[in-house]
Amino acid sequence: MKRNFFVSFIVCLGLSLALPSYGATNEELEQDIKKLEKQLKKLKKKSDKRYKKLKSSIDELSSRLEINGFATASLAKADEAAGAPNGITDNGWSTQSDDIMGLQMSFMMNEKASYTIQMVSKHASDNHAVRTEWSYFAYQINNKLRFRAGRIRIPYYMLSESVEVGYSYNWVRPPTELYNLSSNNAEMMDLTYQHSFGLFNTTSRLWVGRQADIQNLGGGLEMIFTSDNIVGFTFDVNKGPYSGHFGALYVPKVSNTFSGSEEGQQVTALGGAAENLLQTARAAALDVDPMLAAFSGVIAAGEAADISYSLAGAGETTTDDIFASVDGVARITEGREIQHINSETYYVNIGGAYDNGTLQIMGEFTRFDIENTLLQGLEGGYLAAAYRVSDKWTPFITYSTTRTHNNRRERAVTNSLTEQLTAAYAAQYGALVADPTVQGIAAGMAAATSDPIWTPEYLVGATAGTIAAVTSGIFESVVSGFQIKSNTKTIGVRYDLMPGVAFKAQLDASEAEDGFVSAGGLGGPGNPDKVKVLSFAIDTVF
Amino acid sequence: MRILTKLSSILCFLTLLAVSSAQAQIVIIVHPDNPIESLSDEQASNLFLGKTKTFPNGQTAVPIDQEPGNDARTMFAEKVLKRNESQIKAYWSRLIFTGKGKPPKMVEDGEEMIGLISMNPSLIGYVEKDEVDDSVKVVYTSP
Repeated sequence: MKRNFFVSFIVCLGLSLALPSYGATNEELEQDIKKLEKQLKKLKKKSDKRYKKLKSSIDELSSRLEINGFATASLAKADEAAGAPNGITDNGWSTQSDDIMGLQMSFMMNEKASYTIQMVSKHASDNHAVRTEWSYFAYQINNKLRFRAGRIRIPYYMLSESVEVGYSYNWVRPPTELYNLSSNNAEMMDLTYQHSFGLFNTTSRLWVGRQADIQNLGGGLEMIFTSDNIVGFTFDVNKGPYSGHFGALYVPKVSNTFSGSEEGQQVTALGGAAENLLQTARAAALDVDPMLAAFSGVIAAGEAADISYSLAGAGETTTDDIFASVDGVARITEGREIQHINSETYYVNIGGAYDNGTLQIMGEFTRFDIENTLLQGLEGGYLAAAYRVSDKWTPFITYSTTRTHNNRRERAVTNSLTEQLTAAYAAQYGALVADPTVQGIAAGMAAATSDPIWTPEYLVGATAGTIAAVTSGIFESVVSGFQIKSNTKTIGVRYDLMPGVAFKAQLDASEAEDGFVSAGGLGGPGNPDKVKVLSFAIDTVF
Repeated sequence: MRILTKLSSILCFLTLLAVSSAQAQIVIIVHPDNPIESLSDEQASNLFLGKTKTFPNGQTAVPIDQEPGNDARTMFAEKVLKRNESQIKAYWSRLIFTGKGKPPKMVEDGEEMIGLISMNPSLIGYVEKDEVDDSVKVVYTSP
């Protein structure tokens, strides 16, 4: 007990001795702490200020700079080796056919002026290359008027401008009967006027532009085409669930420059056919001149009979043009360059849609004419319906069709030309049979093969048959090569995983009608007439 | 017997829930100084989908949206725009990537919406009916 008391006394003493000195340090410390607190407050104020400044400048920047993107990942397979779009074949699943990635940056200079750039990478047609598809300056003049200048998508059809943004529609890809143009952008200026008449909202747009593009035709062949002074107009009207669209554009002149390489020689069947014709003649040791004379005879006969026909509805094409064209194709195979100048091209497009949020019906009809060329005008359209059965599932169906103009007339012309060529050749028949060279070859062949069939008549007749067949083939491929009449039936479903992500599955059954081809390569010699394509896609926007 | 009671209470709760969610209404609001007295759902839809940029009287209109995930936004989309969130996204994606328009600016909630609308006569927005106060004017009430 005593001891305990003693210990606590010592401790107390020690503490009381120690405390005064500790107390003095404490006061100093407190002052130091107060000082430090002040400094800290100052610093905090400063950093808060800095942070606020930074935050507001970031906010300002983010409200001035908008970045948006879209992407499609796809999987597709066809039941035929040819005729399907985007390079889809029956050779395994194609993983790149409809793949696309787009990134858009839009910078607001102020409330009215902005600059937008959209870069797109398409796998199927472009080997992952990133291209600046859109790049334009926009100026909102007032609530109703807007001006833009730069690289902008040409509004050929109702959905042309948004065709790459898969998320914006139900299909994996829009009907390829219509949406198969690979070259869609122009340097243009446009003026858009938005006006509402009561509940009718209208948007009118007038634009002028210039287009220059290089298309890779495959096999070392390239086509550079330019068109200047394109003028276009679109009109859109909307009221509640109904909307309508009208578009027209006029191209005064298109010039195509083809350039090919030596490897391009095998590319054109037409060049091959012309080559065959000459080889057949040479193999038969025939003087080519009478044959060429026969050709000239036909051309002369055709011109005398005033055989000229319309390929594009309005322009007149003469037989000369056909041969000029054959000549042109032959020149491509020689690796030269040719320039083919078309005259006017017109596009007219009418579309309509009904969308009440559950039921969607959409249709579009378009027609284009090119004058004075072997390329023919096209007309086509589609009708689509979709029904949102739940928040997530939207099944849809589509029927689309396209055809070239005046098919029947052109066919009649082809037949008539072949007939006349055969007749012209027959007119030379007698002279050829009596020709000493032909008689000599026939006698030589008969002696060499010990076959009495080799008479001058047989030799000339066989050659005539070959020539008629080949010539007819040439005309067929010149004219029917461009004769399109095809349709596609589509059934599919869109599943909205979440806002911004949609999964789609689609089955297309396409066919080229009897004696016609499709733009996608159906029909014609060696090609299937029908193809079914099964496609899947995941579409995102962000 | 016990199960039945339980079931009936669950049913009762569900019915209440259904009734209460069915009763939740959306109101479209403007600044009290805005001369507009009423709007139809179609007129409102035109403004919020960027189809028109002016009030029926020709005055400039700036629509303000609420952020995705807010009940008010979901109801507004369903009752006025007649689209779900995915359809709205698809609609705007078509306009954004063709340079034809962009979606309205967004606020976090009804409170921020009312605060903003009460300060600027050009603005138009929406909140749930029970959120509304005197600082703004109601021009449309959803069924």
